[in-house]
Amino acid sequence: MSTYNTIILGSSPNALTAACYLARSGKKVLVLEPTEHIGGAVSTNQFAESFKADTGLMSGRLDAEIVKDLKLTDHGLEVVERSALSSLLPGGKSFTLSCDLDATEKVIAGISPADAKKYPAFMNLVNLASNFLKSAYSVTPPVNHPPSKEDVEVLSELSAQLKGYGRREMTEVMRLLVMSVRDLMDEWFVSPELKGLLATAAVRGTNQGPFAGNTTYNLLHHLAQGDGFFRATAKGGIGALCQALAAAAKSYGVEIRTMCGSLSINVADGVATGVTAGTESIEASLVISDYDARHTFTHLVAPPELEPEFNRAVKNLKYRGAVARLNFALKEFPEFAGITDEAMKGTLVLAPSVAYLEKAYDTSKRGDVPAQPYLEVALPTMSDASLAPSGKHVMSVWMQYAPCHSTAKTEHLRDLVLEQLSEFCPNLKSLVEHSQVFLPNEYESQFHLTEGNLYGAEISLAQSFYLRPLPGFAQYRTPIAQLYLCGSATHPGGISGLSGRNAARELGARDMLPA
Amino acid sequence: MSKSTNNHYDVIVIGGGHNGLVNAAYLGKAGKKVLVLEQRHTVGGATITEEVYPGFKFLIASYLISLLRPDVIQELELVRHGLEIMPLESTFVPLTNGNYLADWPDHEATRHEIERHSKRDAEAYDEYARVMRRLAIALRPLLDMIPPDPTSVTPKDLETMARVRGVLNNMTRDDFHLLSRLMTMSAADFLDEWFEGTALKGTKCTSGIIGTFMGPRSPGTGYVLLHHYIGELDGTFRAWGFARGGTGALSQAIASAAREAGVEIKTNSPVAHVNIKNGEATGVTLENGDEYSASIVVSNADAKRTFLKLIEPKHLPDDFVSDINRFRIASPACKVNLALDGLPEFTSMPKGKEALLRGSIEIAPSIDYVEQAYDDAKYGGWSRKPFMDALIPSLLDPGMAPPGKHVMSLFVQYASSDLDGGWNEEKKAQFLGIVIDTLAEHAPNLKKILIHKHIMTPWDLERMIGLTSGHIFHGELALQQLFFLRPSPQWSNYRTPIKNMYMCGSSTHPGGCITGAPGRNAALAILEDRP
Amino acid sequence: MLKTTPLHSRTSALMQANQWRRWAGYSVASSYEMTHDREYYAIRNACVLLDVSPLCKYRIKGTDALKFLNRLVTRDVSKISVGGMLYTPWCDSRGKILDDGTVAMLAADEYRLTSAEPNLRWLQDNAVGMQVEITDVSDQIAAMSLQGPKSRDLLMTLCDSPLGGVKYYEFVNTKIDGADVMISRTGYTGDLGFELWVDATKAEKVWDAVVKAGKSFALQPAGIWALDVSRIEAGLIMLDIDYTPANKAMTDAQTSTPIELGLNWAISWKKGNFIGRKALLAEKENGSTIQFVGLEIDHKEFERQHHELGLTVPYPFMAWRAVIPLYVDGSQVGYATSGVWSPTLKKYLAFGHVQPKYAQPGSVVTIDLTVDRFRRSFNAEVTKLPFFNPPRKKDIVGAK
Repeated sequence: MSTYNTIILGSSPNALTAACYLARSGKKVLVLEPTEHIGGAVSTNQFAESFKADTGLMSGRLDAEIVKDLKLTDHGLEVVERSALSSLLPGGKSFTLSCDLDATEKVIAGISPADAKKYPAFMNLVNLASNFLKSAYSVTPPVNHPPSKEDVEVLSELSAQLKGYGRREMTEVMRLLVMSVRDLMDEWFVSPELKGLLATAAVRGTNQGPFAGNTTYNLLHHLAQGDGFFRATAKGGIGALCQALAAAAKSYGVEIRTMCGSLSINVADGVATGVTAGTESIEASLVISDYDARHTFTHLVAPPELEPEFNRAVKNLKYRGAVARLNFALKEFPEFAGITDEAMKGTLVLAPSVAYLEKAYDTSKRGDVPAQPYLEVALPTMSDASLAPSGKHVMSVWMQYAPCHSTAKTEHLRDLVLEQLSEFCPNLKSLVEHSQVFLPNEYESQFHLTEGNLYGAEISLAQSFYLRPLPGFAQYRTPIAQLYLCGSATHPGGISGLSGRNAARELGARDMLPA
Repeated sequence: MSKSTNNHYDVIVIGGGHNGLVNAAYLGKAGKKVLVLEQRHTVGGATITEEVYPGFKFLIASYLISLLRPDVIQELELVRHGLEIMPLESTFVPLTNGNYLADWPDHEATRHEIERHSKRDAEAYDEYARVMRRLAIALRPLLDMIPPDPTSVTPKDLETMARVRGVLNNMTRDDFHLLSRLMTMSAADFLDEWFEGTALKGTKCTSGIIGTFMGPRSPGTGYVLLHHYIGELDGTFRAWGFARGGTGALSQAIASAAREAGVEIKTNSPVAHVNIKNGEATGVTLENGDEYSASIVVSNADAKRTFLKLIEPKHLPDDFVSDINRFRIASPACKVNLALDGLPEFTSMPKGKEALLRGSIEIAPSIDYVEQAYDDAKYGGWSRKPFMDALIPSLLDPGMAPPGKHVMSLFVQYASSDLDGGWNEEKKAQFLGIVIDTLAEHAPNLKKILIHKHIMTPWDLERMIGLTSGHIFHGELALQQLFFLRPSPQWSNYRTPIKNMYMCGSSTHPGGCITGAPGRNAALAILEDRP
Repeated sequence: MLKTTPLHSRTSALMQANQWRRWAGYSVASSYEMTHDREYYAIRNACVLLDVSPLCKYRIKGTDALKFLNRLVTRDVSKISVGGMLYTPWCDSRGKILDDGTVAMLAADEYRLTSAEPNLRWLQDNAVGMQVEITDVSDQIAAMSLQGPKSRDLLMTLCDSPLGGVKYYEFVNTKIDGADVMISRTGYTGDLGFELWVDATKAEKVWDAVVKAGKSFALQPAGIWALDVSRIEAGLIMLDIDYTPANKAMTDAQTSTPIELGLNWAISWKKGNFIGRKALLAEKENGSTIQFVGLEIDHKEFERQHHELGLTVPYPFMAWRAVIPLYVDGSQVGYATSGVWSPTLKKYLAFGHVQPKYAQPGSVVTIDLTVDRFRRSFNAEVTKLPFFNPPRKKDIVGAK
């Protein structure tokens, strides 16, 4: 039997970030991953001979400070930008936005000159708001009420930033947080196509439609994580984020075990004493769960160890995974009509209007897969040929909505997606050599993501800040002494590593950049 | 050719809706010389009772009173001015499977009813009610407050902000967290955390969508749910009351209080525009050209009508005009009134429990039903099976109908104010038919006893009463337009960018329902500026 | 609209005074006769039969039943074996009392919990992750309480079981007139007494048998008024009257803990974790802010003041249930929640909740009572509970 100072269950970027910081400040850290992939669902898998594709999320970006601080570039991280965002429109039409503001204005002017004029101001506002979130995301939320002196300090710093934006901008930013993205789009734009495209980030990953209140928060959340409109991945796929972090972690002395067997947390008298992995019991003075709160507190820890009120709060958490992920091995490059090669390096989106998204959700909220789904498509092989045999391609598709309790079959989803995309790439079906489909229930059974939610809990204002992962437990602590959470389930969520870094800071990791 | 009248007033209130009258009465009591100008032949705005069909008094717009601030009743002595409020004690929810759910004024009676559907829910119900009451008590002080501007650093705004923080800090941590969640959640999600019974959740979720163009599954409806819990009658929260003589009688009572305070009320006097000189309001011009001058002009009309119709945009800052333009005011609500030759017989109403007819009758058998009703309407349509909140006022006040006959008031959602192709008489008739058919499914004798039917669609509410888009709350109770954001950031304190011009309608904090709070708070703001 | 109990046909036939009351949504008798005097005296001198069917009853069954209960309640349920029962409160995680009742071990891995209020949701929510099945059997099981010095003699004429050896808080399964009955030596009177638990469909039959046999023992049907007098004499608290269950309280200030209610003896610190343990342990260490006490109101003075006004003394024969402030030197130090004239002890008794420094027996606080049309202060002396505790409550006769 071995003894570690710290055991981390799970190996997402948050787990590995926390591992790095804790090890760097002298802790002996063991990371346990039950699957064969470091990163769990945040990995890139070989789904056919010489074809590799992302398992869960198909874009994401580590926090820039973390990349710098942990020297991840030295550990092999190569960021791949997807700086184009194309909208696939009915009739095989399309338009493409890019990071280049001037170019994008021209593109939008082709659809609506009025919208083109407003676009820079719109981007400016949402950037202000997401910058504010970014600041809020780098600190540990207060849990006291009324706020303690320390809490007031944290809050005043944030409100100072908000006030610094100017009086008008301050209230504009506050409004954004609670608005439906439909309302936001209606306030700014007239073109249904532009509104549909920009609204997607507000419903991405949630089982919610754009008409719903607070959805703008989700958009800002993705923007703050660098995963809003223009996205990124890494050379080698999303799994490469974890590979780089793992390399850094090893350099600090972290031990990482994959295929460690099924996990549970040992608790004695309300104190976590270690972990059982498979048949092995490993002692530790500190246990950190990278898993979501529901999985942690119903499977890793037995509910009777916890107070009834806490168990109720865990039961009340919303997950509602609604994303299906499809990966296709293509024997040739798929020609999407009107999409340039440069645009193919970015993200293609099928969401021609806000109403289109809402209608897809209408079906989903009743538990079914819509006939007209919202799709996002990426061709990672455009930027990274290593993911497929020479001349061949991998196409990854993000499909909403596939509600977690629907009875839809994988074949149905595959056919539906290919059918939809064939309108833009007529020979697509004939190019497919292999395919891989993940439904929410598979994410749950294979990776213990509750209800298949890829973000550790539904992204929503009601589960953010001091309410994330659970009201009263926003500081990475849990009711079990010496048991902490560090995953996407905690503030701020996502795979930027910030949850892990904040958790490590709470655990007293030294040598960290100030928040 | 405009003609100027000799009279100068301290204050002119545009619109004699209940908030306009409350505002006028407070200002009158403070010694101001006040004139209320009402476009219609009678005061009340949407708070009216009208004999649309001979012998039958219809509640053609608002129908219940609960959120009326106790301060307003006391300070304006409305009881002395004729106000009588009777509690609406029960709720009856007919279900499609022949069963029903009932909420009685008695705690144990209600518990037994809920137990028939779920024992767990019967237990949870008590706790739920207590939690909602606690949150309502905590938030109540905010209703009677002139919202602060959080961007301002004036001593007064800082002091009000401190009061707001005080209100929140007074709550326990658990309650504060719960409030934070409720404000940002959907009514459906919140109810799912408490209950398992579909019928109970169906009827409870309706408080989250009344007058609101959202479905119960939309985040934001949690707040609306709470908003309706803040209503109180004699200290009982979430209690609905019916005013003897209908809501119109309330308007008459306030008007009487106002007149006693020296307020002059002119009906049939539609205002064409506010007169503005050098960025200051100086009075108003009526549609007939008459001019009235005043030191202060207060608008009871909604924000859109006030700032986009009664005032030329050139007098207003661009930001403010764009704020008013973006103010969401699409409405889903209709009012239907029926003259009946007898009482409707609900197939699911058990013998011996006919007393339930005296309460509220809700056609909302499940959250799914209400959500579907929303889905049908949200793209510019109407519900094929609408949600309805019905009431038979003649059982509470026999004076509402001839002996032996009855009136039935139905609040109906959803029918979009932005109907595809627009509203017309034919579409009105069509939707009215749907309402009758839906109700007749539960009360099959309805068509036999139907003497007369009348509908007020959002189109009618706009044409007749002047509510933009027919919105009964003068604008959606969405989080982005509440409290210090209602109707516009920096202008939530009843003041406007135009000097001497104020707002006192439901477009201002705390929003819609018959509360009297905007009218009262606006009077407080005016008296702060002009003691 | 009120529900009736399985014994309603019998109780309503006995009712002479039309004095019904509500109990947990059921109609039950306040008193069968015009006054409850005879019913009370029968509790202390002969025997009474009470319909206590409105009690909530839950069957707890499964391999984790003991684990479940020991986590739920404050006492150690492992201390009882089949045939044993215990009284216990239970709390939320803040240590605030939710309800109190009894736990009976019916068989291996099978228990029955009684409570004053419905608790199904709380029980179910706490069963997550445990092998335990919780069934609400409130409506299936009728309960009658046979209390008084003659109760045992009466029952022994009805069944073969050696009741003489059944100890306080034990039960036996037996038959009365062919019907299966569980007889437990429990009650709410602080006297010798039993509770009979029977299938609702057989309840009337058993009632009839008891009433018939009761003719030889001066059996009296009794209602809640008589019960209320005896439970105060016995020092037994009542939900909603002497404490507000935590889930019904609007504010924290309205809640109570078992320690505050004098139920320290019903908390097992050694059994491991249970809901509220942490908070209760902290209270035990740091002290409580309020303490439940017995009070004896100066009745002599109460008498004197009435006499002074030329009035006869209105003895509070009926228990009052009200919150009345208690003072020391003019400042409030607590409040009383129940009070009654004890016909047996000839004392004016009350329950108080006072600051710990005034909780020692012998401390004197004052209570305001009305004398005719005037408010008057009376001394009330803190007294050990229970006020009345006859040896027969726990005695054993013959061999088991």
